[in-house]
Amino acid sequence: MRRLTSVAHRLLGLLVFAVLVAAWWLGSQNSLNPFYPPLEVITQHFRDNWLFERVPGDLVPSMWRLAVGYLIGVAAGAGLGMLIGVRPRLRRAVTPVIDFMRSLPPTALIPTAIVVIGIGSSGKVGLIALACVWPVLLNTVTAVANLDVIWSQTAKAYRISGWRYLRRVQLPGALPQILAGARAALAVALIMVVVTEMVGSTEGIGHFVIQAQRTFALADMWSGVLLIGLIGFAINALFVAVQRGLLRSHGPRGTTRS
Amino acid sequence: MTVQERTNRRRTVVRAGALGAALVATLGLTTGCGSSSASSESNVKDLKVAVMNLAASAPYYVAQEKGYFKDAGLNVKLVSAAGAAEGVPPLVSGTIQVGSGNLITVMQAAEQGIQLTSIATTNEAAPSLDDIGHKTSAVMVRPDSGIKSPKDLEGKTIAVNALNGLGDATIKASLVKQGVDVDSLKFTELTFPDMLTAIDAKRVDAIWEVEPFVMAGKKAGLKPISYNFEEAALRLPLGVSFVTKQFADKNPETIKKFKQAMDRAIDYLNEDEQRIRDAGVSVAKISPEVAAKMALPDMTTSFSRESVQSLADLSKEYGLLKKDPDLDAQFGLVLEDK
Repeated sequence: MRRLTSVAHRLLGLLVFAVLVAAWWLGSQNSLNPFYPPLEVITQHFRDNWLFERVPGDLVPSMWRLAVGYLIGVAAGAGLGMLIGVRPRLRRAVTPVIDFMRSLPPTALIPTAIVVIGIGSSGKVGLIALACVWPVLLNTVTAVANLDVIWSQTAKAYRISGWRYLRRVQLPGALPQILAGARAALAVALIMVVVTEMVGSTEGIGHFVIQAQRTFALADMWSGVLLIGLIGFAINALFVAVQRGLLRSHGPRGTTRS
Repeated sequence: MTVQERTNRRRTVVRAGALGAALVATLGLTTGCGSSSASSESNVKDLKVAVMNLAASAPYYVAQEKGYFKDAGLNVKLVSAAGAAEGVPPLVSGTIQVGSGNLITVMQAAEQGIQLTSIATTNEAAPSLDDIGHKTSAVMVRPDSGIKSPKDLEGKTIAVNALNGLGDATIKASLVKQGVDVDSLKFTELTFPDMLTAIDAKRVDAIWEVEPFVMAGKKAGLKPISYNFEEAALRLPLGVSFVTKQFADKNPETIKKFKQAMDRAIDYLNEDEQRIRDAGVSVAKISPEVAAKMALPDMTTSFSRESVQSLADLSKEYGLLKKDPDLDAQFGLVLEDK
């Protein structure tokens, strides 16, 4: 019964999506405004650009930066969060700093990053990682700090401490919230890839979009925007699959908390 | 009827009258609009003009401040724009009526189906290679970079403000004449102010600057290695005002008056070069020390056909355009031989 409704829900989602695409297609069909070309034209340009001519030159560098920056950011956020979360005094000491840092829009640091880190990929990856750290860090700190008291007490009674405590109790207990933070960071990472590629760049999806916009190749620009949307959809779906697997194998057990 | 009642009644009458007048006015306006859009010419008087904060934009500000637009019967409002391409969407949607920028923007827009018409000019490159006081653009390097001649730029990274724009196209066009393998050049995109920091930190080998940043670069010890505009083509046309073709068709008188006011401002500026420096300080917020020494934009009220043609040719040669632009449709109003 429950499975049936979930299938129905998924169908409903697809239906809404299909209706919106159809509305776009029909509504834009006779558009003469160069800034809003017909969807039919956009899909033609999408085929010309992204199946698969520009994939090696623009898509691959973007995805590579996304993956590396994101993984560094999530690893750093979760690692630091584990350290800070279990030490109440340290936590109180660094909370204002974290709140300050996470409020800074990383895009504002782009010009500085160019000068400090350089115009190559490393500067972009660094900024993506920097932007991804905060949602993961905050979630991890909170999760570790609020770990079920019964768990930590039990662990103490069994003299489970140090590395084993971290791996067997702390990490599985905090995993659901770490993953929630990692999911939020995923959207941030995609935005950062596109924005960093719009400045001081010679390739990538963001570079392609800004370049098309500047030369009034607006159907090309829309094809890039469409691709960014599809990437967002795909990496989110991938994330949900990974999340489900991780929680099943490593998540908290014997409890309904999640 | 008491006094109180009478005043109340009068108020009601006044109010009803005002409402009636407003209604009539609205209807009148509505029909007025209807008839004017039906006729072929409208010749609007109110213009919003997008202008960039550059020394070359001085004519717009002079025409505004000296009342030249007003004398021509135009009510102009200047709004600031970041770049020429950014000004085109509001132009098409009608939020602004006049855009400004370089001529390549006009050519590129036409290629994508956005027909623009140039209605006034601002500046062009210097008329001779020796005219150092009007060479407003340069490729610059660090003195310790080991780059002594244009040939040494081969394989090096040059920063430009926009890829596939006026900068990299004219750099290639000028360097190819000096025997440089331009395919080996690497270009990257930075803003003009950021370039000075980036070359100082050795993140790029060379930078393409325009005034006032050429002067700022020289003050910081950088050496010009190529004056790309003049080396690409003497009197290369650089700045225009443009409107959509529909607007030009409907407002022939308006655009004529606009050009008159702009030309008057250019004549005023050309009488005394100090006026251009002063405008640079007040308009583009250039520091007085830099403004006193920088090269000045060569203000002109028309372009020669050959110079516009050479800009179109080099744009096509270096991939900025796919086809030959229709020069008469896009620039007919600002050519010398019109």
